[in-house]
Amino acid sequence: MKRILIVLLVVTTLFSNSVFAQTGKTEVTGNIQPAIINVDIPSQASFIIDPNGPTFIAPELFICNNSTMPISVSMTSFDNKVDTPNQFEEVEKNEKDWWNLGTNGSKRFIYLGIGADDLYQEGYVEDKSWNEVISATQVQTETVECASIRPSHTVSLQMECNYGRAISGAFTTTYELVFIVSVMD
Amino acid sequence: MKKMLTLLLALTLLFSTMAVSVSADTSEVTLTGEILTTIIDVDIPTCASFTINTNIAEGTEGRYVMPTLHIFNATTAPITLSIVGFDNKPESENQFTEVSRDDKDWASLGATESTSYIYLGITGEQDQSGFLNHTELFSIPSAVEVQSAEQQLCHIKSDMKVDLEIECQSGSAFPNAITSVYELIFVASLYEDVVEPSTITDLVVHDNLYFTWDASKGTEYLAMADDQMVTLTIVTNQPDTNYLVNGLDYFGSQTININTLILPDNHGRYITIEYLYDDTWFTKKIIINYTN
Repeated sequence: MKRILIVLLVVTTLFSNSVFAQTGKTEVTGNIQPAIINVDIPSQASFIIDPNGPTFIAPELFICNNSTMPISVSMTSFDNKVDTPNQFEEVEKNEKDWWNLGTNGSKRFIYLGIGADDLYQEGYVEDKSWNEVISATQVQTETVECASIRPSHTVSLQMECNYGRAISGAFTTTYELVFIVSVMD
Repeated sequence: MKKMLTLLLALTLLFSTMAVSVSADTSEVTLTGEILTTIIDVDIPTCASFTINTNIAEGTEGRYVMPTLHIFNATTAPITLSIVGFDNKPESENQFTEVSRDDKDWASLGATESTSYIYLGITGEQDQSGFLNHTELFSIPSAVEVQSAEQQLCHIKSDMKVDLEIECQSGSAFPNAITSVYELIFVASLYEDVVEPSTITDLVVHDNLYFTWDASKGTEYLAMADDQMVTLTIVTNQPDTNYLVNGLDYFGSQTININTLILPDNHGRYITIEYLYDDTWFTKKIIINYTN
């Protein structure tokens, strides 16, 4: 009995190999997870203008890309919040004679910009550094692409400001900056 | 703000059309600015002296030896300097009555009048580098004018000085030498500039030589060869000045081609321009080729 079975198997094998050609289809389903952006951007920041220094004090803003891929950062909004008591008119850096503005000009005009603390930070993707200081007026005109950041890296940003020195009474102003973070193309 | 999407959300997005949301995200940063008050810091001499040598003839050098007051603006902002007091100190030995320069015939004054009347005033050179936006003092007041009202003198740039001079005229009949002490009180305040309201400053209608811009005119009439489309050059005093032409938003100085609109009952065509005038929105209507 055992011998018969072995013979049969050999015959079957020879038969299948030599007589038929067959195409084998294997369906492989790839489940690729979407890239998840995980970026830390501070939701609050502040600056102080002391016209007597004169000094502008603003902390560094850190953008930390915790994602596993490089991301691009753009700015779509950089303006006074609608409900803030003092509404500045943002202008370009050298548009005003800042030292000679009086009380009305000092309360009305301001230059605000945001740029790289250090252009050569390791966190920037090559050739995609935060090359120039982006002013509030630029952002108010159009969305500005700022820089691309490597995965698991942090870059620091520094704000700059020009302002009149004739401030007749202390006040507070609030700005809203909106960043768009996307997977780098 | 930490944006960490959960796996569950990621899978949901994979099977919906919102995959873009995973690869682009928005972060808002609220930026609060605190602006501190400017501290006024002006150096004004606390003491000065003048001498009248009545033995030197009027108009001759040395008769009046008057001080120059160096006013230095150490504030980081420009200031406005005014004088509010210019009078004998109450305890001064000799109390003059300050008068205007032309009030007296100084050469004819006797002893009593010479010790009673004096002209004192403030002046300063033109074109001082410390002046902001002006070339000479706003006023060269006499002491008697200061006694009646505050006198604004000048705007001084930050970190600059302005020199003020005291001038004098007196009688010559002094039986004895006298000393008189005056008190001058200056007020320094932050310079208040005038910020022009953002508005249209000129408008040129191409192919029409007769139109001249007058911001206060509501309706104007024009004759044009082509009344269907008009080319306008609009000039504004600020690059972001907003205005509307036929209801469309424009900003800053520019030349635009505008399709004119038809007047009711087809009496002609028109353009409307809306702009800020006297801090309120004003509408100018330019009517072209009007017919009854």
